[in-house]
Amino acid sequence: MRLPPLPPSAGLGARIPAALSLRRSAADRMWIDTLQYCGDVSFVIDRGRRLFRLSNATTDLDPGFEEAYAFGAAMLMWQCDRPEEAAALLRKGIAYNPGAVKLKYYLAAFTFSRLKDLAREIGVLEVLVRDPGAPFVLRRILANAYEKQGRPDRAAAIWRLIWLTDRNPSERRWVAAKCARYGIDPARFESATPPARTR
Amino acid sequence: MRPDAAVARYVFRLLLRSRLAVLMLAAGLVLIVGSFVLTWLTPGTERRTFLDVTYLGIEWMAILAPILGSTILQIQEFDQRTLWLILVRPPGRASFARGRFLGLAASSACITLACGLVLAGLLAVTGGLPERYLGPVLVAALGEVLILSAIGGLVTFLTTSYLTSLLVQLGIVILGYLSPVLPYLARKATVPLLDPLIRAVYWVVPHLSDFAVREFTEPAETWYLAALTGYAVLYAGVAVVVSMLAFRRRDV
Repeated sequence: MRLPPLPPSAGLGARIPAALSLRRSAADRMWIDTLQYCGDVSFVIDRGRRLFRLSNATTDLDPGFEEAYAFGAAMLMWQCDRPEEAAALLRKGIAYNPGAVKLKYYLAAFTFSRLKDLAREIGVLEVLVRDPGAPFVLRRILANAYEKQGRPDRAAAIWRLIWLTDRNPSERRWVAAKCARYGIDPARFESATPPARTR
Repeated sequence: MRPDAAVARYVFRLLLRSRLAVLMLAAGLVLIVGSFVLTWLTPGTERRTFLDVTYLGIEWMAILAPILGSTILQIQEFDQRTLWLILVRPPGRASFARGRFLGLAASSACITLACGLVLAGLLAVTGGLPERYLGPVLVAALGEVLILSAIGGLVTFLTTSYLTSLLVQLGIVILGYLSPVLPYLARKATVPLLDPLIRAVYWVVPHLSDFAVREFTEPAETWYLAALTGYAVLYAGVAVVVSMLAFRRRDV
C-alpha cells in the first residue's frame, strides 16, 4: 500500500520529501522539470544527456508513475538515440510495476527497433498509440516509421489525426512541414466529422 | 454535557465568523485554480497533477485550520481577556476545555470538508468521478483535524504567547511527519542521552505520516481508515484530558 522505500542511491532531494510524506508531489515537480527540459533548446544541444537522470529521479520518488517511464524511455530511444538508457528505464519500470503491460510493449518496440525489424516495431507502435495516455511523441515516431517503410499514405493518416486533434502549435508545424514534402495542404484535413480531440 | 455544548457552539461560531474561515476558504479556491494552471505544464498527466496538488491542499487545510484557530482563540481569550467573561458563569474549567476542543474541531472539520466538497463538485462537473482516493483522503484529514485540535487546545493552555503556541504546534506537526525517521535517528545518536529522548519524542508526537493516505499506491482500505480513526480519537482524548488538567492550574 505504501510507496516502496527509496533506493540507496537516492539523494537528499528525494529523502527530504520522503521524510515529510511529500513523495508524489516531489515526483510531480520532477516530472514538470523533465517536461520543461525536453522542451528546452539544451535538450537538443546535449542530445538529452540529463533526461535519464531526471526520469530516474522522478520514478525513484514515485515508482508507480508509468507515464514517466513511458515518456522518458520513448524520448531516450527515438529522439536522443540512447537505447541503453531507455531500456534501463523501462526495465526499472517493469520491475516496480509487473502488471504494466504498456511498458512491456515499449520494451518490445525498442527491441525490434534495435534489431532493425521495422515491421514488428510498427506493429507494437500501432498498439501503443491507441492508448489514450500514450506520449504525444509516439504518434510522430509511428508516422516516421511508416515513411521509412515506404507507406506515406499511412503516415498521412497519422498526420491528419495529429492535425485534427492536437492544438499544440509545434505539433501542427511539424505536420505542416511533413505535408509540404509531399505537396499536401493540411487545411484539406478539416473534414465534416473530425475525430474526437485528445488535447 | 450542556455546558460543553454551549462552549463548543460559542467557539464554533466565533471561528467561522472570523476572518480565518474566509481566508482559508479563499486559500482553498486559489489552490484549486492553481492546480488547474499547473496541469498546463503536464500534458498527458493533467488528472494526476490536479488531484495530487488538491489532496495536498486538503491535508494542509486540515493542519492549518486547527493551528490557526487555536491561535485566534488564544489571542481572544487570554490576550484580550474574553475568557473571564466565560469563566464567571458556568461552565467550569474542565467543561470549557472540552467544549473549546469540540468547537475548534467542528469548525476546522467544516473548513476541511468544504474544500473536499468543492473538489468533489469539480470532479462531478468535469466527469472525473468516481475518484477512489477522495473518501480516504477526507477521512484521514478529519482524523488529523481531531488530533491537531486537541493539541492546539493543550499547547495554548501551556504557553503564554500566541507566537510560542504557533511555533510549538508547527514543530509538533513537522515532528509528526518525521516520526518514521525518529527511531533511525535515535539509533544513530552519539550522545547517550539523545537516544531515550528521541524515542520519548517518537512516542509522544502524533504519527501524522500514517495519515498521508494520498501517498499510497492504492486507496487506503476500510480497516486502515478505521484504525486511523481509532488512533485519532484515542490520541485526541488523551490530549484533551491533559489539557483539562493543565487548564485547571493555569492563571487567567
